[in-house]
Amino acid sequence: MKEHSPLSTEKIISDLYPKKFGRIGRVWTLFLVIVCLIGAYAYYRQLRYGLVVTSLRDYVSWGIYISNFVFFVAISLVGSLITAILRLANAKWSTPLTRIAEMIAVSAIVFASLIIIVDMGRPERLVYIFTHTRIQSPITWDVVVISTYFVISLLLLYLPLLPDLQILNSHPNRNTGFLNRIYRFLGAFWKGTREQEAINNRSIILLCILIIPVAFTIHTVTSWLFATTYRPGWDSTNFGAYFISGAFLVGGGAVLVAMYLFRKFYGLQNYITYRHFDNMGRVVVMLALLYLYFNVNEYLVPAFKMKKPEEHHLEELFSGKFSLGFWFAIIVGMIIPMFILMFKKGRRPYPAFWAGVMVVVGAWFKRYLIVTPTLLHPFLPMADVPESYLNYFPSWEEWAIAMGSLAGVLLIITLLARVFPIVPMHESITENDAHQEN
Amino acid sequence: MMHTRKIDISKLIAVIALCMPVMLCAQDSSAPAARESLLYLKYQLKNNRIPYLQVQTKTKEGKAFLPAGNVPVELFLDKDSAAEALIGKVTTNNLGEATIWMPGSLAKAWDHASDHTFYAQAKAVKNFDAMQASVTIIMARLELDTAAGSDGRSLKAKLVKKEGESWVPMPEVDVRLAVKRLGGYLPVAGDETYTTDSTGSVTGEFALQHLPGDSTGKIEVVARVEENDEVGTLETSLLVPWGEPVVYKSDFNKRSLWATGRKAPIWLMLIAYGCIIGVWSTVIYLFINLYKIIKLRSQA
Repeated sequence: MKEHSPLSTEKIISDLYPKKFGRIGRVWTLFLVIVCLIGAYAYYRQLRYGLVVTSLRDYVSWGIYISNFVFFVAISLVGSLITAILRLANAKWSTPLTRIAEMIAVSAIVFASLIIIVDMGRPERLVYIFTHTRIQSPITWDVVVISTYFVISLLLLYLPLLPDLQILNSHPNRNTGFLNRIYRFLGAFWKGTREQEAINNRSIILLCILIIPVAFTIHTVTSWLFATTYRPGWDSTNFGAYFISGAFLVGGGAVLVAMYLFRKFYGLQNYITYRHFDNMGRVVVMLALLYLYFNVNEYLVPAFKMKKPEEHHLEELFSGKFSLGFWFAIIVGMIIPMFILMFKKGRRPYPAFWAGVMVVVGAWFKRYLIVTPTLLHPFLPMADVPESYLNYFPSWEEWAIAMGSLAGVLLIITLLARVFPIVPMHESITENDAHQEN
Repeated sequence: MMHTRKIDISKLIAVIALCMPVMLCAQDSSAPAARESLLYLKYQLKNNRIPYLQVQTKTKEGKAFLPAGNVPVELFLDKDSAAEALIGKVTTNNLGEATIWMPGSLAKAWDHASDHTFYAQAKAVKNFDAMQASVTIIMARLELDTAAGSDGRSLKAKLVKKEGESWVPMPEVDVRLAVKRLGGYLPVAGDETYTTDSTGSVTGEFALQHLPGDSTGKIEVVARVEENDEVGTLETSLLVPWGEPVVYKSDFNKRSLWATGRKAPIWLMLIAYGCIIGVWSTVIYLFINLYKIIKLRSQA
């Protein structure tokens, strides 16, 4: 909240109350729905005609879908960073950002699960993972940990929302009938008694502790899907830490973008202040440095040894056909945002927003570059295969599904922001009251 | 002294300058390298059973010897072309090699004399010129046995050749006594080869200890005469129980990381299920807390 300017409770409620979409909001939602529908049609084609409509073949069997999956898993980690780590570290400035972070986390993890099913080609075979479970397989660990993380993220979104639901339920005239039904279903039992608050606070702290190892596990296990496969570019013992640091960075970048957009379009200047951008900017600089360090490790060490099977892969990344994307991901996705956010002026909302955009876009390319070039450079030479097996560029169906899933994540965030307060109302009122008393 | 050296160097430079055109012509790589076809024929006998012939075809192009594959070769016994002396026809493989055993139809001719000449005639093909080769051998036998001496286990080999109707010892021939391993032949002791004495015999102490054998500890020992001018290549082997029994443990269908789901390692199951139970117990506890919160509604 804005320093040294206490606000009345009514003003806070009025400011933070979920608002109906304006014209821009409706156009934005319609746009997202259209992109999702195009993605759904492309998926229908994939189901109807099979994976042959994609550019996935024997060598590149994980293409843009798995890149997207890794990206979503990465971005979902922001929930544990903002909500859990900063809360446990007693960084109270992060309070207004917790709901944004949890909304991003929940929506991203939903589509991480869906995109895996899309990649399978035959969705009905998902059941085999449960009926023929092999606990030795990283894919089993991934399914277990993603579903666990989804439940925990949902709880971490829901439990801190209970006091806000009481406020929402106490203003039925401001809500539509449909929203009133949702609020009553989700929070009519919350009366804000001392016992309820005690149990709820205890549960939230427990969740914050629980989500950190689960969040670390989800991305470590995702990295192990690659690192336990013996291939150039993936054969690394650092992959877990490398993925986690990258995930925190993209999550931080996504929060910067969301902070700016919500602040601008929902008029939250009193709640998401320069101080939040300043602090979040510093966090992103630290995360960018950390991720850059792991990148140096991941590429410099193999390049120094330049083992024969790695050579072609690294050359393609450094100076070959993937070099544009590679250097874009490194320079635009890490170095430039880091330099922008290093300076106080760069940590103002507008430049910080663009730094966040660069981090998120760079991170998407980075995931693509982790997945695809390695698959195109197997240890054994590719011989006697059709031309289409030797290269990979996603078909329009793949692009449509990938963009549809990205739009889906944004649509869930948009709808959640329509239904629930973006900044926790009850906590804001409590902090404001405490500030006034002081 | 200085004067003499100057003259020598100038002479040397003059000679080099004069020779330069000749040397350049000699190194002219534009001239096509002459191709030479080569045909080799080897006689081999294993365990004193049916002898066989090995044919090898190569081409020499420049300084390189290259295998010539797909070359048809006819082989004859004692005559270089007669149909009744035909051992057989072979075609070399991509390594330029082919093998043929002596046919039963030539058994009489084979037993009739104590020495024989084999003829090989390669036909001209695209990459190979017509060639002939021959090799003459004396019929010989290499016998191998074990001997238990005072100083431990030994191998004894005896080389005899056919003279008329009888077999006589061959002295002064190099014989290898070795153990057959995957990568080649391991000498039974320090010496690579032994030379036969007047009785045609060699004896070698078996000095190898703890040599892995088959499941019953048996190893294959061999005596070899390699590419001898008179008798060709002879090899006789024997299975002896002088090795250590090696029993391979099969991990098939045992608990392992690569087994089926039901055969997962216990330690992995303990860790994985332990983590899952730990986390989900906490999640269930949180749901119970939520239920408590809901129940507290009535008290409020």
